[in-house]
Amino acid sequence: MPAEVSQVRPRETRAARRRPNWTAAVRDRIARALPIERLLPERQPAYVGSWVYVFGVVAIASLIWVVASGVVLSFFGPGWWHISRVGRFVNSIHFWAVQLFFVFTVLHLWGQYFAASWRNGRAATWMVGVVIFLVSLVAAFTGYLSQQNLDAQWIAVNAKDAVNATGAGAFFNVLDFGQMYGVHVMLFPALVVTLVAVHLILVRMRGVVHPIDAPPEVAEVVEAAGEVPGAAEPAATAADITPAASGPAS
Amino acid sequence: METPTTYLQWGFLVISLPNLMLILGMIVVFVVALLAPFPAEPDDLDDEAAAAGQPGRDTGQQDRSSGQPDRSVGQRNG
Repeated sequence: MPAEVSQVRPRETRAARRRPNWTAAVRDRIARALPIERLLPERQPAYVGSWVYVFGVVAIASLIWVVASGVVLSFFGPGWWHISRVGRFVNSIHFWAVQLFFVFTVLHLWGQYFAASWRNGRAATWMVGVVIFLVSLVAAFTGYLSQQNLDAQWIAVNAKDAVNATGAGAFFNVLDFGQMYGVHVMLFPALVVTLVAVHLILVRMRGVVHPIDAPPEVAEVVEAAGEVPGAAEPAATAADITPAASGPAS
Repeated sequence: METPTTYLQWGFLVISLPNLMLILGMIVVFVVALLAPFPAEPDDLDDEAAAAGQPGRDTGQQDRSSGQPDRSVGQRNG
């Protein structure tokens, strides 16, 4: 008799009797907030089909080159990147990838600023983007200090007074090559990459902001898809949809 | 390479010529990105036009290639 009871016991009952634990809570929350359909969508709103939305993607591509060339530089060291022809080439890739990263990051920032992309619950996305930009500035600054040449010494000596004036000089000594190089190759890359990942996840969770003068029905559809995680697939419900292959979201 | 660059001064504003060229170039790229047509697959345009309830492919092409996201959404739904 007890065996029969266990066979007919509904699965929901067993699930309800399951002891709550944080692993399941986190898993359920992630599944609700970011279903795989939203993480890797096949389609995007039509207004994403503009070159303006390519700036963010190019910035990320530049960041990949920055990190890849930086890894190579860190393996071989200053003697290699200053003297060897291949080393100077990789050093140049690192430098110019950084230039491209900042150019397209600023262009991306301009585009999102004029689109007021912090609207409708996207403040976190915007703020994380701004923080990425600010952290990248410090990362690039420590990179200049890590060159191991007269340029780096000149920048460090000129910057020390400004940094000391802020009070940060007590723990952020621009004249300390070891510290600057350490944070440049470890702390800041990890920070920037992590923040970019968070930024992208927020973009996927909230979607790309609709145009300012979009008709109310379009805004409602897009916002409903973005504000209620998992409740609706943005691509399947919005009328102004086009495949993502022709317009990367950024 | 070793010679100092040219600096431009206008009142209290001072900027190097390379920096000015870079900023102007970025502005040009930004404007071009707003105006340049964005490539799209014909099938995508069909899907888009169908989803928007509009019969013509040309209208969709016009919307997509205008580079004006505001206008494109407004036309499809207005």
